[in-house]
Amino acid sequence: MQASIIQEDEQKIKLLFRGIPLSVLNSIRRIIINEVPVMAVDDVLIIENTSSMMNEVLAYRISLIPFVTDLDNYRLPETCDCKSKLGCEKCTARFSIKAVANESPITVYSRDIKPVGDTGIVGPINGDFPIVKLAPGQAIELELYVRLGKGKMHAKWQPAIATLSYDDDSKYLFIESFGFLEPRRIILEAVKIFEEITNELSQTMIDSLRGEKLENEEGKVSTSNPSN
Amino acid sequence: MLSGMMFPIRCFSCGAPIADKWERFVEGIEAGEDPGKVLDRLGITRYCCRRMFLSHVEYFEEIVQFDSWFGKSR
Repeated sequence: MQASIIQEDEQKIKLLFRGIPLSVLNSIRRIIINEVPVMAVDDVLIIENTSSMMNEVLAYRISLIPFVTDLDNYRLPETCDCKSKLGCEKCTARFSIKAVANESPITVYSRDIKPVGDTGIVGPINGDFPIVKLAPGQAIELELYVRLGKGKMHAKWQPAIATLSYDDDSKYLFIESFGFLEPRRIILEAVKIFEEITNELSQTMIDSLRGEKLENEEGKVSTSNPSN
Repeated sequence: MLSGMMFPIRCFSCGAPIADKWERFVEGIEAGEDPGKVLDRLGITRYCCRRMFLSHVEYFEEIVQFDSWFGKSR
């Protein structure tokens, strides 16, 4: 079993594996896309929107902007103990957007998303995303609730592109981060989640097989392998 | 009203964020540069993302102008 980095920059990483089954690497690839939590706008409170864009289109565009993710200080809303619909400071980062066009038309960018309170490193990955254009007299005022989420729930939380290719015994895992997390961190998180899933799977199997064995001792009909 | 009025934030196929490079792409082609070369320079390598730029028609400004003449205002 052997793994090495053959190409790396702040956006992409390419790894070479030898002696690891393709199916295991594919599980890691799929975990990168579906299971690694990253941050995006989850709730939008529309205070004012007189722009030419409808509320839902505006909220959708904002939700697709990737946010730099702080995995060490934030928790997934479903595992947070606040149990609040709006969330607490441990599971939700608050931002706001306020823009008015007075004499001339303006474009609202992701750089106009301003943090409310202390959000740490969390924020849009860059300020160049055009959100909406406003004609003179139009205005928007929104409050944004940024939360952790997984790619399997919504594509806005997909952290990266991950592809797998192979050539005899050499397998190449290519990852292009969307900017939420560094490529290295994405792989480390994916491997951690892979371990959690396999541990949970083996534990459930052990528990259910033990359960059947107990039933056997009580004289009930067993469906398990008789050699055990 | 369609979300197609303004340039999409992400590529429809692969999901990579692309809208941050849209204005630099427009500046490039307005300066007379070859669209394919601009995309290469901006690091848009996959053809799914490249077609997002090449096939987009920006007509949101026309709707904004229409609204500023006849539409809602404060």
